[in-house]
Amino acid sequence: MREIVIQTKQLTKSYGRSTALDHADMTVYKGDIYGLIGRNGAGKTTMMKLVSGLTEPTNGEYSIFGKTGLAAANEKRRIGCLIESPAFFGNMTAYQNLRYYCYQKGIADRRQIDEVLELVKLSDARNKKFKTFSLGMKQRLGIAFAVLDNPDIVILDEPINGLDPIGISELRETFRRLSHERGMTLIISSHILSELYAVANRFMFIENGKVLKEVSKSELDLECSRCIALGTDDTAKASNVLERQLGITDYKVIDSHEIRIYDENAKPNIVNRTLVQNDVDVMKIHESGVSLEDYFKQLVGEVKS
Amino acid sequence: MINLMKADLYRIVKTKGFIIFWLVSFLVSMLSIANHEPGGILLGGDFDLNADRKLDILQTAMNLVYYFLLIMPVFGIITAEFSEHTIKNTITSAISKGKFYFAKTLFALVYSLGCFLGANYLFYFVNRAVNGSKYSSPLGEYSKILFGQFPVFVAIVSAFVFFAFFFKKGAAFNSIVIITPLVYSFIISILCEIDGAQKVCQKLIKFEVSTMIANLALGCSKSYRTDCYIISAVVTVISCVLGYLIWKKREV
Repeated sequence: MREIVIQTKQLTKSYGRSTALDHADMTVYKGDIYGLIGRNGAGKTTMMKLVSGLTEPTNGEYSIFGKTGLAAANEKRRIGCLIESPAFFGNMTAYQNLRYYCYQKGIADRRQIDEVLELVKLSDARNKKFKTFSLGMKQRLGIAFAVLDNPDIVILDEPINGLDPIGISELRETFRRLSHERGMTLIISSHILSELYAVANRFMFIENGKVLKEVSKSELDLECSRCIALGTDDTAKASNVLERQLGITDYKVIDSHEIRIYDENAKPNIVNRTLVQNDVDVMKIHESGVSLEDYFKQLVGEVKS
Repeated sequence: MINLMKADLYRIVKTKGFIIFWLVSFLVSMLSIANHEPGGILLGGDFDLNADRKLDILQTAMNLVYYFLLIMPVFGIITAEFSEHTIKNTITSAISKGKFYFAKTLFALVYSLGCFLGANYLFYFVNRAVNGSKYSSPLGEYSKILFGQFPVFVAIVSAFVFFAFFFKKGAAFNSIVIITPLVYSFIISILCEIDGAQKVCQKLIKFEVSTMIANLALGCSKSYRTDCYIISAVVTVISCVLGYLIWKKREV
């Protein structure tokens, strides 16, 4: 069984009458690249602020490496964060800023500063003052800060913001390296679905402070890929007909009333006729398959309706 | 907590405030030494600056200048974290919100009071070397007077720390701490014009910050000294406790 590194249970945060996060459940496993997807103001940053200890929950609880309460606060040292926009002292250079945090975190080995600057490709800007940095450089320095002491978990809030296409591509590679080479668990938020899809292996969709869905990449692929959705009250018999009569094996039984056929050669009219001829009641049959964006819109729409 | 203080020490020496503090205190001291006249800031008050005392003692009577100079270290240590939004970096990974308050308060006190003592002793030794014993007192006597003012400066820095955590924004913090002694003097001047308020006015003048600093340097009664220390202790405790309680309830 995979180790759970962060888990939230009914986590709620209210500011006066407004609820920024509403009974949110989240489970992050070791080694995950976990994507938090939601629109601006959906509650992504609030979720990150809560698990990083930047703010206190109104209700609910969270655990870090299985520890809750004060014990969880002690585990914070195993987390590296970049919450909201990257913030450093403008009059200090990139190196000096990171050195300042080395003192704070008790990191004696100064070589780690050059290592993380190299990782985010900021070695050339090592001695440039932070106030002269472009937005993309600031983001990269923020990531360097987050991974400075080789944490087990890295929380990055909208790290792609302000980066050019090449920068985004390089960052994607950096995330993969952090996950595969250093074994870090990453929690990344973004409202750019395609970018998160390219790196993450598990996703949480969030809207108006409510968690809409938590899915793995394979589940998301299944939900989004083109298929024929078939509604029947006898999935066992229908499966039998699909395999024996039509030779379709690329399908999945979703629940006791739904089957999804992914075979590209399957035609809805032929499937329907064959099933009816074999005494299988077909309640509905239609072509399905949506883009990531449409999928997210559907989720948001379901909650609103 | 020690790590946070080490980090702050590393950073504070790179700020403009650090340079301005030492430059201004050096200039004030050097001008006083060269002119054989005490230099600094006074807001008036009930004391005799023409008393027959040596230059170094008269100079400590004008130590109100450090009220304004010590704004800079507190600004650099605490307010800068809020204005640059770097506080979230610290609280998310290095230290809890509560410990952050204690570490910052402790460091602001130690560092600011260290600067106060350092600048005063710098004046003392340069003055002694340049002007000789005619203008300088024995080290013991000078130290006794300097440390006699110490509780007042502890209270001043504690109040600054409170204001820094309360206002968070640099502009608000600077405005409030700069105008506070001026507003206090202004209120006294209004009260003095009101019939029947003279007694209250006299009391307020006696415990105005510039007056306390000067009287503690130039000599005062034992009961007055005790009253000054009690007021300083009350301000220190209230500032620290209230600051912590407000800080704990605040969102970062």
